[in-house]
Amino acid sequence: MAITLEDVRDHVTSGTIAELIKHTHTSRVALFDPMARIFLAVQPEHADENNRVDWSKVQVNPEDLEKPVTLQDIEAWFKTSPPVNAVSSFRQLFDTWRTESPTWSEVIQTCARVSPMAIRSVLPNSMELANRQIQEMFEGFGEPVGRALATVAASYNNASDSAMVAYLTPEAVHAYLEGCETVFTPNSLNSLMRALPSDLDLPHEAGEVYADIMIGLKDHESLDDGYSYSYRIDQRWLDGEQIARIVLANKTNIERARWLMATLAFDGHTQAFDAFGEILGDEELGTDALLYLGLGGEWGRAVAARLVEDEQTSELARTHAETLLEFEPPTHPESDRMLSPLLGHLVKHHRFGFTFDSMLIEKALGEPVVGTPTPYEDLSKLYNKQAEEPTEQAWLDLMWMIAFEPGRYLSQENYENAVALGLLGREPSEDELLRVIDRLDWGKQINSSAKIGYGEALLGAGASEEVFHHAMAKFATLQRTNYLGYIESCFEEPAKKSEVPWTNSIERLVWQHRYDKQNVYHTLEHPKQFAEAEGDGEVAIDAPGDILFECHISALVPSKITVRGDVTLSIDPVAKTFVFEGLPQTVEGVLPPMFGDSYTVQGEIHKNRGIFGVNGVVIEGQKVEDLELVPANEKAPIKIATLESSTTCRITLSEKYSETLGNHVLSLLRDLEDVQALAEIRAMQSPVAAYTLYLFSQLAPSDYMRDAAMRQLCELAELAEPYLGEVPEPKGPAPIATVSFDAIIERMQALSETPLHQGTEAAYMEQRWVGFEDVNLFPGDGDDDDYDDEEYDEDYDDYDGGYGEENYQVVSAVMLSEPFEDGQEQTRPYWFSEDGADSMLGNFAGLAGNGMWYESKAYGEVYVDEDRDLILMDLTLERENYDGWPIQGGAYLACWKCKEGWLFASWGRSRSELQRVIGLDFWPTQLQWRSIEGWLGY
Amino acid sequence: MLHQTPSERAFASLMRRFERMWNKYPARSRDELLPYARGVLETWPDATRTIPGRWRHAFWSEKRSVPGELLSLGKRLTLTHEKIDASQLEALVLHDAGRELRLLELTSCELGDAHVMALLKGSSAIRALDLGGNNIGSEGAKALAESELAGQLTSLSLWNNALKPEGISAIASKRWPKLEKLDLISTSCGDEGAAAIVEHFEANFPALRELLLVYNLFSPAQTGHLKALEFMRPEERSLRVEC
Repeated sequence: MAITLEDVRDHVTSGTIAELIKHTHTSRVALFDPMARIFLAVQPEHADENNRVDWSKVQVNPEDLEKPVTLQDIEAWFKTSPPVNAVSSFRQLFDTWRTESPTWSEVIQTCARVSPMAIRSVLPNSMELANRQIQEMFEGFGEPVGRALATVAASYNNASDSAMVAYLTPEAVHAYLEGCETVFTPNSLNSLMRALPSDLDLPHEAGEVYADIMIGLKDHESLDDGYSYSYRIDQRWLDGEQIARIVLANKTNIERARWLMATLAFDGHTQAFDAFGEILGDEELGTDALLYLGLGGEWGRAVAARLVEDEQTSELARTHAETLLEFEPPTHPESDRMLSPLLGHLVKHHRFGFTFDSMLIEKALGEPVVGTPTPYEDLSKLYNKQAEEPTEQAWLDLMWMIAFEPGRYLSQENYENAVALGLLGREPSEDELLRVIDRLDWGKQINSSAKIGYGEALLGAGASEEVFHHAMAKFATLQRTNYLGYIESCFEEPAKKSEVPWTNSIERLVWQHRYDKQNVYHTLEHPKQFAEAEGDGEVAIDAPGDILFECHISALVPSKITVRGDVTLSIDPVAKTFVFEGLPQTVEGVLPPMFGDSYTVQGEIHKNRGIFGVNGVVIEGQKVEDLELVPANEKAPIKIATLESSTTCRITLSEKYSETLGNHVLSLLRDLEDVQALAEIRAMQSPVAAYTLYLFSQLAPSDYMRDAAMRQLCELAELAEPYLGEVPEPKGPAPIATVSFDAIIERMQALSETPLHQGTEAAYMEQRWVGFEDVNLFPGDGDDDDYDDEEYDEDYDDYDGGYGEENYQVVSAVMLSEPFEDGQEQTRPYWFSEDGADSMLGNFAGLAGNGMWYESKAYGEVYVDEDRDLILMDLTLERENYDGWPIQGGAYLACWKCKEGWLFASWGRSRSELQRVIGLDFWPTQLQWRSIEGWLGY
Repeated sequence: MLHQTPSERAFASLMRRFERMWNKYPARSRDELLPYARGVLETWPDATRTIPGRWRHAFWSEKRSVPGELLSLGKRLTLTHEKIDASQLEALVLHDAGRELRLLELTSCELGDAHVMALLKGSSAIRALDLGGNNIGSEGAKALAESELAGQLTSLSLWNNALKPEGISAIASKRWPKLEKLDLISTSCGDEGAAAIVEHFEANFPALRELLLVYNLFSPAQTGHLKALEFMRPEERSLRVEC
């Protein structure tokens, strides 16, 4: 039962205040002033050395109990530095339901000003932030709250308030950054910056503070332990000068400086190019900066042009900028945009444009209609999943209870408070559901231990599809943390269980939400739309092979969209289904929600792959592969056909850029010796790939890289002509020299300082072999020599399966698997036939040294090159260990020939080492592989 | 830029721009821009002219060199929970920019009496002083009362310092002609200190509008005397006493 004023008075006069404190939260509605008066009487001397309050020492004048507590009273109390534990308990008197002064918000701000060390005790915890009222409260906090949090963080030497700070105002965030300047680690700074929303309007000075912090962290010890990836610049609130300041401060570590520049270029911010402009005049990094400006297309060029104009530009920077302006980059054939390999990252389509807030219902709500609250006992049954056929009223009342007391157990006292505030017994209606949805905390559930999510309650209270969508949109806009499993248990599972007819579209929305969370990116701009066609009932337009398109159909009538010749996507907006035909397999599925009286279909096609959406939501079976390729410079029509001539159909086409090309350039920039990436760029076979290779052949910092880029450019024949003035003759992949087995041994020995293992009986057959390990020894065998037999017997029960210690290392060895008889070359192994490559997996498991992986799953890619007599496999191995946990490993397999016969290699070491042993100029490019899957057994 | 609405934020971004201009064109900034800015900023409320965070340390460290002329455009300095030693404080008040300060808040900075002495070494334009949450004792309070600050302060906050009755009496027995707010919350004032305030109130605190004395464990009688001060004031100079 709830306590009364008389109870408070009795405890105060009898010196048993400790009993009262337990009721702080539940008494906040009816007894705010008397309870607050008790806390305001607590003084520092009432706490022991562990900061626990000895309530028997606290003296309260009973006459003061009913005196209204003002904000000034609380401020005066905070000025006395009251014990933090007392402040934490005092905070239980406040929540966002309290509207009269002193409000929770006022108390927090007062505390921040005069007792900053207690700030964490009065703020909500980081699990309570997915709530509109709390977020609005945070929007009112200025600099003092940020500074107070920083003060506490600095005193604990731990700046880990990112979840909280992310909701503060720009002034408060700035103050936090400033106050924690010396406390941040690369990781804590990163997690704070990641949490900050991009639309936060941070003052310019904050950028200055951030740059100072980054420079201060450049020698941080954590960066020595392989965590250098956590040292990257978040340039959202920086200008070019500040970014350049950070990069230049790192130039004593050239690899670091290059890593920073590479990541900057791909982040989708123009100021990165301003920064490269600032760095252009630097003796050490100027050449790198020039390359980046070149790669930066129109943005890099604009900076170069500006530098040439500016009288203040240094001589070196000017020379570099002038060099760059002499290059002639190609342009997009349709949109005239200057091409750059970074475009795939800088110009992105926000996947089909669906946003959850488009589902919010914005309307003025009517007054609540007051009825009879559901009895507490009934709510309790419902809360504990024991109610039979609960009413809509009961579900609504339960939702109000949880909105009122998020994360707390249902109790009689809470119930009485909710009744007192008039929250229960309201008539279930759309308006009332919208009202309660607005108060929910999206980090909580109705009852998480009984697995009752909000979705179940909403359906129980009679929510329509639109109201359910509205709730999902509220969740998506308020919950910024990627809370795994929440959206499924909150919305998807209840919808499936209830079997509402719109269950499937909820699944699509849940999928879309997961997709959005995993694909957060910034772009410089959206793709340019370059063509449009409109027709009655049907329309068609010619589109290049790589394209973004959107079809608009003006009525909810079935339509058929055709791309790439004969691939069709049939949409039935009434039945809410779709079918893909013309692919190796027909794909069927359900549509996302249909709003309004028209709909859109979106597609993004690149090479032979496509992804499609309806109304901006990616549809099921989203990844369409094996589309017929459209050759460069040719077009294929995209068509919409409906059976209704009164329907207006419109198609718009926009630019599509390859992210893959950008990724190869990024990996090249991160390691300027990585010539493999040049081969991958060449394999893209496009004008922009040719331009990229040309840029590297002219501007790369090393001769080695420039030469390698030029060699790859020459492989592009006609595409290279604009840069070379003639069509070069491609040489194709370099043949693999057939050397003796002894030469192979020499190549392997060059990779290791310790002698190799060798033998003539690999895999119990007469196969000559050489390896870094003994291929015939079971993993762990070598270490078992000195165990004591008796002890071994005693421990036998715990023995884990017969292999000695666990060793998942894949053997790196080459064996002569099929020697040529009498020195005569024989036909190629069976593995070169279409399905034969799979059987090569058997050889892997045949080696005792790979025994740990026997009967494991292997999947990955295979490259079969008949011209060069070469098979390569890049495999991921997967099995369970003896505790049932999955473990993964990786292996390369290879087959080629030497003078003595056909070779087989099992390789756990690096790819580049295997490449050297084979004598391979480049690893095959990504587009040359096909997938493979099998089992590692005989 | 100078003609935007005064606010702490506007001032901070203005100062940042100044700093950049100064680095690029020092002579022009000093000779042309600074005098003009001084003129315009005179119309800005002192409270909006808070020294930007990364400049605060420029007062006493070599970490960053911010021109003294620029620092002196700031009128308010706020530091909380930062340990400051007396010599730093002395450097602050002797700095050109320190002499320009109107509002100074050094709360919970572990200041003692020596700090107060250091603070009083230079001539000062401070109008509002908040030294709450420190370790200042009666000697510090006496020094403050004897200083020229007594004649110029409009607001003095010494909350949560053990000033003791002697310290409070020293304050009460000096005339503070302009003081409008006096915050002595939790200062171990005691009845004796309160009595001194009551005794000298009319003569020494003519402008006072707010007197904060809670958490000082007064006897009911002394509380009555203090509250009675409210009634001694005519309505146009009303006083609020919290005790």
